[in-house]
Amino acid sequence: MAIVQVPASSLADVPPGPYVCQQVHAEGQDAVRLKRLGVCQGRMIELVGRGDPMIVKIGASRVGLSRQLAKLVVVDSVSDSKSSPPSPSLPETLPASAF
Amino acid sequence: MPASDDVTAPPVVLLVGNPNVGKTSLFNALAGMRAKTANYPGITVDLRKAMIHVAAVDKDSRCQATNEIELVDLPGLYSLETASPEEEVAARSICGEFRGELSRLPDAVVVVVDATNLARTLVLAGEILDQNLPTIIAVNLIDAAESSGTEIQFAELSEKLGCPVIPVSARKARGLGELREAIYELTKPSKPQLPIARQPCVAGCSGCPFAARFEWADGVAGASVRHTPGKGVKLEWLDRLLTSRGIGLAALLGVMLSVFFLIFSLADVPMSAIEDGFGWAGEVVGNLLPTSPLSTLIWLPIATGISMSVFALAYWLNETKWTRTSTSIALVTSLVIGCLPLEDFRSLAIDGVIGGVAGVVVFLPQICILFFFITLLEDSGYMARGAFVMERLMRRVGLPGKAFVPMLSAHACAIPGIMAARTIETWRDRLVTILVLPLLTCSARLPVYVMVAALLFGDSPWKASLMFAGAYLLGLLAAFSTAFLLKKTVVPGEAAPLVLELPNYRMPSLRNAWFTTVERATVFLRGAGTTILLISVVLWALATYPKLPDDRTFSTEQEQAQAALEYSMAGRVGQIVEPVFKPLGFDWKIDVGILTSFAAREVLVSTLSIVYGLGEDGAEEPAGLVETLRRQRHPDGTLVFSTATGLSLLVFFVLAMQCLPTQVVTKRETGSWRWAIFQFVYMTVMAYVAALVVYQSLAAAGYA
Repeated sequence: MAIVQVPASSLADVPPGPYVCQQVHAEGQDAVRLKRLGVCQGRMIELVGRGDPMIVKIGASRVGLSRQLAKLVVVDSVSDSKSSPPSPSLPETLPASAF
Repeated sequence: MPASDDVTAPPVVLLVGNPNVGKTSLFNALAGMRAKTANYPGITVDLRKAMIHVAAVDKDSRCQATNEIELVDLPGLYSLETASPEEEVAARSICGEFRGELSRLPDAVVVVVDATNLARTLVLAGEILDQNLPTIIAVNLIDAAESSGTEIQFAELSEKLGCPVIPVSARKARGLGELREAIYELTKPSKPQLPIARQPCVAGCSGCPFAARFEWADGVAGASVRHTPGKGVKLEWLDRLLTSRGIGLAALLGVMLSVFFLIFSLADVPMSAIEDGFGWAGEVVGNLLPTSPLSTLIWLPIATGISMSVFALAYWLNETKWTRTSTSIALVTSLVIGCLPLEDFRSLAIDGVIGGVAGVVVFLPQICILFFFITLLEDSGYMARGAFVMERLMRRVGLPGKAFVPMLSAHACAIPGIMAARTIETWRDRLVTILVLPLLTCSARLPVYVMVAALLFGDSPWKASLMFAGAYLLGLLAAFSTAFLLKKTVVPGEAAPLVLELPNYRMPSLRNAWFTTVERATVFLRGAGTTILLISVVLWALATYPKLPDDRTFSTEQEQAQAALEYSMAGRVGQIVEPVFKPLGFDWKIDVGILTSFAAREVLVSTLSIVYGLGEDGAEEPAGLVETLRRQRHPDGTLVFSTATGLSLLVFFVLAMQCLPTQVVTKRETGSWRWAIFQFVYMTVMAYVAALVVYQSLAAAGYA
């Protein structure tokens, strides 16, 4: 596992509650496994139960997540993200009229 | 563009979806008993497929147009970016990148999404829509969504997605006709082949493609779903309990013990029925076969024919093609069998083939019951919680939490356990799990444990139960410590950290559990059946040849059987290896039992019965066998079955890899004999050393 500098606001260190995912530092397979379940930039993640593994809620799904991976997920509290503009790397929500 | 160059082949329709959306239930509801498990060349992943009729729903018309299609149930996947070999197979079939039968693009794709979790499950649908294949979205579990107050505007959803959207409930069989009609519309013969060019679902994305897909899915789902809050049953309190540290573990233990109680109590009747059935079959065959030698001219074609039909059956089961090699093997073997003396042929048919197969098939009821309950628990959503709870404990030894289902199965039989290890995503974790599974106490070991318990603690039930518990614990302990050692040596690295969806709790469907049980039992019989037959015949030959010289006479049949076994290859090998096993307290007769029990461990009991002169029937009366074993003495007058020998034999059978069918399955699942041989060597060495320590220390303490 690559050594990644872990910022203070990783998902492993925060109390239960809703968060916005800022960045996922995981690499390779771990990144795919996280992101395809919705742990990726800009998504809402609610921490339901702390521990190792912990339970997070993403949309309508509950996901068991090991602490080791949670450490790589940088989150921001919801109120913070409302004041800051959305991450520039995120594309605009696709308009429904595209179909 | 879907291209079916082969005009005669039916259109291929792939069933695709996330895990836990009820995709397999939908497949079972559509296919019923027509489903077949197919081994596509070059893939170790089993795919289920079925030929089904799809038709336009037209109540007035008498001549309905129908079309036959091949429906393939692909492994569940979250995204076309894959994280396991099974998902790789699914993703590549969708893209038409496979060799062999799946090499062309599918004629249509049915994406199954979950009505109760529409946004998340639409993400995959978005990816597949971008492939520009004819696509249908089947929104499953609408009954569950309705009862929890979720309303979906299907017309709106269909318009947004640009493809047909069919609401279905596999459990309640709702919407199946409409789904068939939609498939028909996409695959009907007269359909003009128009290239499909959908607007990409996610356009101009520079950042994380997943985030963009989720945004898109949220948008689509948000616009077509109305949720009435407060309706439906909230089960979050249950989840909190079942995933908690203490109660969760206790609940898991309770569930596992109940499953085992049910297995052992329900399997009793069918198991004795199977034993009786095979016994009866043996008698019938015995009566049908002539007793006095016929003219070779008549007998040779009959015997060869019988043998060829057994080969045909085995090849059909194993899906072996009749190539030049396999046909000549069958022919030559059959001719050799045709030339056997009549007496030998009877023995081969009754003891070798029927008896050998019976010894393994007798465990099928336990395996079926296990599959049935595991499927129910999986469908209910509980198994994911079990894996979540076990993750805490199993991570420490380098096993993933998901290994707990295979480990549960392996307590009935290692073979379905190894097959269940496919749910483990990463190769390292899967390999470690497969390597340690045969250490867990399977049903075939139980007759051996029963014999040793009767031998040593026949007068004290509580000591006997302690011994049983000890044997189970020793197996578990050995599996966990081996996993830990493997992590440090041969298979380095940590178990992949857990990312596991905890699906919503649902009422499982008995119908679906039944179909899944039938399917897995078929896979077990197909995978293991032929191997078991082969091993049974080889072991029969070892225990039969060379035959006793004709000039020796015996007063009883039992004595003759005893002498014949001693004279045979198996008996000779037993005597040759006696010095090797002597430090464990085994005499050559036990060594013969160890050799013959390679087909299935419980054969030890019947072999000991023959080799100690009780005949084959002796094994059916444990009291008689135990009495005889207790009387056995070494040439120097000491007891053979002392406490030390008994416990050493027990420890050896807990730990040794005495099961060739398992080895064949290990080879199949790991793709090489290397790991099967490694498994055999490490388990045998461990068993030998442990039995040696037990025997020598007990002997030193005066228990020999």
